[in-house]
Amino acid sequence: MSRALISTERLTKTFTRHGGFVFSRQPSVYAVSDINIQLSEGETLGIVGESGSGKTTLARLLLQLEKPTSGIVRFRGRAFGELNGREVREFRNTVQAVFQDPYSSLSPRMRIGEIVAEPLVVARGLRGQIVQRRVGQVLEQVGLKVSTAELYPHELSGGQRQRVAIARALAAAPKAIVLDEPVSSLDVSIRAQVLNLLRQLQRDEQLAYLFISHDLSSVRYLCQRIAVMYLGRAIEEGPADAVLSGPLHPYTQLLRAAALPRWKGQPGVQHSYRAAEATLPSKANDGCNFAPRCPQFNATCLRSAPLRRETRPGHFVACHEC
Amino acid sequence: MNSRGLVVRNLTAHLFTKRGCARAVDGISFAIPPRKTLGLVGESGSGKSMACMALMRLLPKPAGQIVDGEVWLDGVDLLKLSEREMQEIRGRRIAMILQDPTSSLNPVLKIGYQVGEPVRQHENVRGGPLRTRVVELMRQVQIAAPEDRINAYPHQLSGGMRQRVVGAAALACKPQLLIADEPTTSLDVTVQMHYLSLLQELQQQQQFGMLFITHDIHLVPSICDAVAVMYAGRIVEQGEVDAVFKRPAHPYTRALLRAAPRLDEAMESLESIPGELPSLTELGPGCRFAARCSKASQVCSDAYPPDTGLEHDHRVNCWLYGQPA
Amino acid sequence: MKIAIDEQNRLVASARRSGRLPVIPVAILVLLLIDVIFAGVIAPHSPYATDLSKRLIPPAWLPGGDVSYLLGTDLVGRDLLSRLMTGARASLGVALATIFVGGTVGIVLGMVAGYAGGRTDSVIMRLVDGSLSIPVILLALVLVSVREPSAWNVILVLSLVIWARFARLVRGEVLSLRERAFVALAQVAGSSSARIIARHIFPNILNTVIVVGTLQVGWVVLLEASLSFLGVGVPPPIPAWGSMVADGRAHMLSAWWLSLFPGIAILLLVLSLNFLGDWIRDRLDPRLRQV
Repeated sequence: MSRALISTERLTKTFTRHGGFVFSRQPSVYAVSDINIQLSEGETLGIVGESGSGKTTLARLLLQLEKPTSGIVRFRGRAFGELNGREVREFRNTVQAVFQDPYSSLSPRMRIGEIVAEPLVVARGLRGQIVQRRVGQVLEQVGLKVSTAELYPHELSGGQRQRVAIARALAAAPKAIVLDEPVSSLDVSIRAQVLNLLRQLQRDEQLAYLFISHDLSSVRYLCQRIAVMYLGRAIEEGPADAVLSGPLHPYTQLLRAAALPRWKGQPGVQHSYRAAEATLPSKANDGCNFAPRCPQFNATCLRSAPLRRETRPGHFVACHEC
Repeated sequence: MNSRGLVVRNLTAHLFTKRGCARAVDGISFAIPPRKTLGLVGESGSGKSMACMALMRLLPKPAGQIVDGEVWLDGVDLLKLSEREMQEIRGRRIAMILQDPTSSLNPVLKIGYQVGEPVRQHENVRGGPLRTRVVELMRQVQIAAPEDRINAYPHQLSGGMRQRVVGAAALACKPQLLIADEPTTSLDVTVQMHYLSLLQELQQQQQFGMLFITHDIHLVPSICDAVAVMYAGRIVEQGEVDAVFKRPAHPYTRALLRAAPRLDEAMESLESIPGELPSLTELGPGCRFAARCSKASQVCSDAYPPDTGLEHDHRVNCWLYGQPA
Repeated sequence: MKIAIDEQNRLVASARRSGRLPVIPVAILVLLLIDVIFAGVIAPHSPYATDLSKRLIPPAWLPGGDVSYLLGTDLVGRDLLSRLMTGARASLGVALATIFVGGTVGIVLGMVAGYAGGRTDSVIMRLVDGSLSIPVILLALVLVSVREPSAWNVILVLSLVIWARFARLVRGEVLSLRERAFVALAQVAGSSSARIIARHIFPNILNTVIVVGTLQVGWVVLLEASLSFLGVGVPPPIPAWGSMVADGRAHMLSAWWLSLFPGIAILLLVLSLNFLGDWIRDRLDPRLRQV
């Protein structure tokens, strides 16, 4: 049994929506609702979801960039609130992140060398030659020239910037990297380069990945386990192969059908699904979130939210009907 | 030129910038027969969006200029028309859907007004008849309860609904040609699928031709009859979808098809294309893909390959198929 | 439909030209800056020395003009050119000092408000609203009536107005920068708030501040001129362009040069500053076009 690096217990985050004019406060929205996940050393976990699924909020919660409304995030089994200063620094050294937009990820007024060195300087407190050498090392590791350190972000292309972001995440030799849509803003030909690089690095360094994406295919390429999120809830979770070749939840089935190649004139499956799109849930336990779009819902689905149950070892689903 | 549909010949549009002349669209030719769909595929910087702006004559001024070429729509060269005549073409005979539905709609106008705008503009229909027409248009794009929704504002609709409203406005005057520039890129995958099948349904009903622009080559077979692959301002390969997808000829097309991970098979590693797009201001005489191509030889960087016909209308620009002169 | 090759080259050349440094405005500003520093040395006459025998000499190229008084003299025989050259000190000097004082205060408070948020933000922003709603001229009149008139007063009054513009702008920038991924990544790396402000926020607002600073100088010059015109600016006998225009007002028909030349000086200075500011803005940050 591998050690859990990060785990969550009933993790929930609500936001208050400010809509319309000055005082019209709307009820809270559950961005992340009752999430229990675990990321162990060397493991790759994919989080799949569309816009509004709460996957990015989940990433921010795990990185301690947001405080949960309720529930706990644990680092090596200890609740985050109980960590002392040294342990918090340890957490910052252990868990790094790469975000979607390579343009906003790099501070425009800093040289690449300084950007990549930041985790070493800040969390490790290192200076001088050691830092220089490590920066050169990780830049080469991600396929960039050592001289890139002298450049500014605007002198690089999108693909090169995303390599810099990965180099920076690697600099302090972390155990885990949270990757939030790291390839979705890149062109197809560059995307393949970066996906290959990520897979290579994971194997070489025995890294744990929390890979967040809307794209089932790249999740399948990179991850051993996947969790599918819909409007803040994890509706299906299990080994990548099992979930993608035999999806149980109707939403996972829909996602899969949408991602499979199709030819003109060939009928799609989407007609059994209603055109309605995801609507934000404003109450927590008021039926299944997917019921309004589901082709096989019944009265129970509208009344109570389905609980997570294990159908096969390690394969969980939250659905009344399957 | 008397053929029906859209025929583009040697269209060349450059951007004149401080850094020099960027050859964003450099002599592209293609045709879209009535009722057919052509997929124009390319990565960012390939010139695909510039190409459609050029044929609509909506290039950013003063930097963007059409340098050469012809754009025939049902026997009329659009590049020879006056600006007034061109305004009559836009929205009425050629309509457009852009990537981002949020910026395509004016946030302070009701959606009914915006859907009716082309009708008001081109057909001078007002009042009750216009209202009936707008409701009908919105029903066509499967907006539920269109009688109520015409009074909604864009922010009250979801992204997918907004993009359907944009579609309704585009098709309001029954155009002969619809240019869809990445219409589903900002939509979720499940919504995207629905939108594409809606576009196809509408095309069958209204019989318009379509230029479908996308960066995602895997979307093409689901909606297009023919495909043209663009790289650094040039179309490097084009033909029927069946031919190009089953027997891709250009090394770039092949690499594009293999570069994306697949859902239906576990893959050990992805075939990636090394390097990056060349700068459009510093293009040499040779094939623009040569520097990244695994099959490149000396001739590839010395001269641009000829346009070679393979079978039917399948054409490719690559020295692997054409003989050096 | 075909554009020939030389026509294409011409288009590129014209694109290159459009981004070039505005030479004439910059030359004017450089000359003025030299003048601000060395006016005492290079002015042909003393700006204060009166000589009633030389009063109201017209500019040199008019009948009755005197080459040693190039732009003529005023009512008490002081050399207009020398007074203009010295007056640049009051105009530009006061404006630059104001931008420095007001800008610094505004930038610091704006960054604090934007980064801290919450109550701190509310308090600072109410102060901003307050100082933006004070009528400048009125404030100057009040201040002059309770304190001795001096150049420092003018700087104080103008700074009280200008800081708020900087603060509001900087706060807006900080709010949007705070949401950028690189700030989140700095937090993930374990950076402190102080480090994030110093290394990630401040360098990124510099461009905006420089652009707005340059464009505001022109506005401050105009304000200072208005105050001087009303007699609550830099006190006499120090020459200020605004008060020189005011002094010449009564003699517009007989001695038009008294008002015209300081007026042209103000116009040239403000225009040059605006041209330069526009150029810097386009260079650094075309996004700021609406400012």
